[in-house]
Parts: sequence; structure tokens; C-alpha cells
Amino acid sequence: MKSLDDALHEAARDWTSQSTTTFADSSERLIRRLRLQRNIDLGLSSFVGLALVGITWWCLGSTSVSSSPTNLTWSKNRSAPYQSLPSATKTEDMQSLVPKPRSAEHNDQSQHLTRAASDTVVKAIDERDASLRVEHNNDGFSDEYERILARAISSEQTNRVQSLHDYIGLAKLCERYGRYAHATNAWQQAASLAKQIGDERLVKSTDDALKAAQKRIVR
Amino acid sequence: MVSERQSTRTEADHQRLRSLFFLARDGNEQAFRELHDVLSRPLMAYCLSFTRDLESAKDLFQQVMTNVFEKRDQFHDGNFSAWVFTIARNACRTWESRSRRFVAIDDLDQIIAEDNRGLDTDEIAYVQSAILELPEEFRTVILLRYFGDMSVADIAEAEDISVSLVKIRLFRARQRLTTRLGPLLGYSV
Repeated sequence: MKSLDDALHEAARDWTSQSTTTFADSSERLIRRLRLQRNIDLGLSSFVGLALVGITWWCLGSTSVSSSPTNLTWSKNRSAPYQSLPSATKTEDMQSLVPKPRSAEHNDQSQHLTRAASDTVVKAIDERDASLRVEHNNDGFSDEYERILARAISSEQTNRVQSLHDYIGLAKLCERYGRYAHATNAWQQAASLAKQIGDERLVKSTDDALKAAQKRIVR
Repeated sequence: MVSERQSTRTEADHQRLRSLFFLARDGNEQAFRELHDVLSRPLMAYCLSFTRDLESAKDLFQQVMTNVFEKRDQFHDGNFSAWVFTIARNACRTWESRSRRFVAIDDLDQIIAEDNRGLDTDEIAYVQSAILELPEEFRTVILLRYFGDMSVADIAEAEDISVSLVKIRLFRARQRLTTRLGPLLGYSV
């Protein structure tokens, strides 16, 4: 004789087995959308980043020209809305009015500022763990890497979940660029944070990801 | 009596769900898969309580998951499962009002009874049809409890009713099922 509970559980198991494919389909379909959304976000943030760099460069160039009185001869009428040059201005003087590219003297300041910010990040990374450090290059990886890493380190004490998320994002970024050694380091940090948070499933998922990353290095 | 899990969902459980959700929202696939696994059975059970047929429930389930995904930026804090079930309830009500338009002239109970007549030889199908023929308030709690594998407290939260009312509904639902399934299961009522 079967109890009502057994019969109900059996019926539920049957429904579950009939739904397994639907669960898997739904999960995969939504993950594809998630990836698509993430790629769009990355593309947009890269675009905005480039636009900001461009605007900053342009503004610094303009400021440099307008604030360099030694390179300009102002008309006697200072209230005039434009700058005028004496008729005897030489070609070299004209050229000094054109905003110069990165190599020009007036852009040294902006380069210095960029390097100073980057140095701070690098110092923080060195203090934390030198293995996390990356070489600078122009493929966009190192800037993005340092940006996320700086955020992860800064939020480590105040918001562990956010920091964990940043380390996971960092690991994924490294994997996308094929930097598996750095990905492993980032997964290690994530796993360590997950343990501190004390969430078993997060610990398991980060540990699994770490093992997978370590296997990739071995291969 | 139903062997109820006494534990209510703790704050740690809520926090874990929220953490998974926020990680998933920011693109963490592993967290997304885990969250999907946690939500799948309760939501499918909930959909089935509306559609009373598994194939339609599968379509509705996909719709509910899509709605949750699309509204993910709207959740900031609070009770995550209550938020999810609110979305599910709205989607199910919409489905219900649409499908009612198509079967308004027929008696749905009659249709289901006729559809299931051929399955009665199969014991599991017979039990399933008995569950699906229960009145809505009983059907929902039984499905969430057994198919959704939810605790009484979780059902109360999802249905926005008291724990005592869930217990009463479960008791009455089981009484009806005992009457209906007694002969099949080999005991008299």
C-alpha cells in the first residue's frame, strides 16, 4: 500500500523529469542573452572611454594654446573676441598655435597625470600581491585590468560581495584575453573572498573555476 | 500530515539568493546557472497550477523566466523570492486572461477531465490529473509543496498569505486527494 505522500512525490518526480529539458533550454537561452548584453556593455564602455580620452586630449590641447601667452601676440584691443597676429608673424610662430600631438611639450602634463594614477594602482597591487601585476600594453587589456583590480582591492574591506564580483569579472577578463596565469590569480582571490563571506555555493563555484583555470595552465 | 520543513527561510538564505542574483545580473554565468536551478522547480510548479497542463506550463515558465531576466534592474533590495513570485503571478494572470478568451465557451474542467480519461490507466498520470483537478487554492499549495519542493513558510511568502492558511489548504487538499486516490492507492477512506 502506497502512502499519499509517496504518490504525490512520485507524480512530482515525473513532472520534474519531463521538465528537465525545458529548464536547461531556458537557462542556456538566457545565458546567451546575458553574454550578448555583457558584450554590448563592454563595447559601449570602450566607446565612452575612447570618447572621453579624445575629449580630454582635445581640451588639454586647446587649454595649452590659449594659456601660452609667450607663443601669442595679442592685439592691443584685449576685449576682442579673437586673437590677432602681427603681419610679420613667421611660419614657425604660426605652427606654435596649432595644438601639438602627444609628443608635444604641452601634453607632458597630461601624460604625467595618467602615469601618476596608474602608479598608484600599481603600488596598491604590489603591496597586495605582485603576482597580480600586468605589463602595460596597448591592447586595452592592462588598463581595464588595472581599473577592475583597483576597484576590487578598494572594496575588499568595505563590500566583500562587490569585491568578489570584481575579482570574478577580472578573472573572466583575463580568460577572454588568454591570460590564464592572471586569471588563476584572480580566481584565487575570489575563492579566498568567497570563503570569508562564508557562502558554501559561492565557495564551491569559485573553487571549481579556480581548478579549471589551473588545469588550463597545466595544459 | 505533511512532513513540513519547520525551518523558515533564514536571513542567510535570503542573502545568498540576493548575492547570487546580483552576481548573475552583472554577468556571472555560474551564479546565473545556480540561481536558475534554485528557481526552476518552484516557478514551473507555480505555472502548472495556472495552466493545468505541463506543455502550456513549460511555455509559461519560459515567459516568466524571461520577464524576471528583463526586469532584473528593477530589484535593488528586499525579499528576492517575493519579488520573483510577484513577476510570476503577473505573467500567469496575463496568460490566464488571454487563454480564457479562447476557451470561454467551453468548460475547462470538462476538457481536462476528458483529456485525462485516457491516462487513467497510468497510476502516476492519474495522481497528476487528480492534483490538477483540485480547486485553484488547493492545487497551488500542493504543487508548490511537492513539485516546487518549497517549505510551508516559502509558500506563504510566495502566495502572500499566512503560514496557517497554507497549512489549512494543504490539509484540505490532502483530504480531497485521499478521497479521490484512496481506491487506487489501496486504502479506504
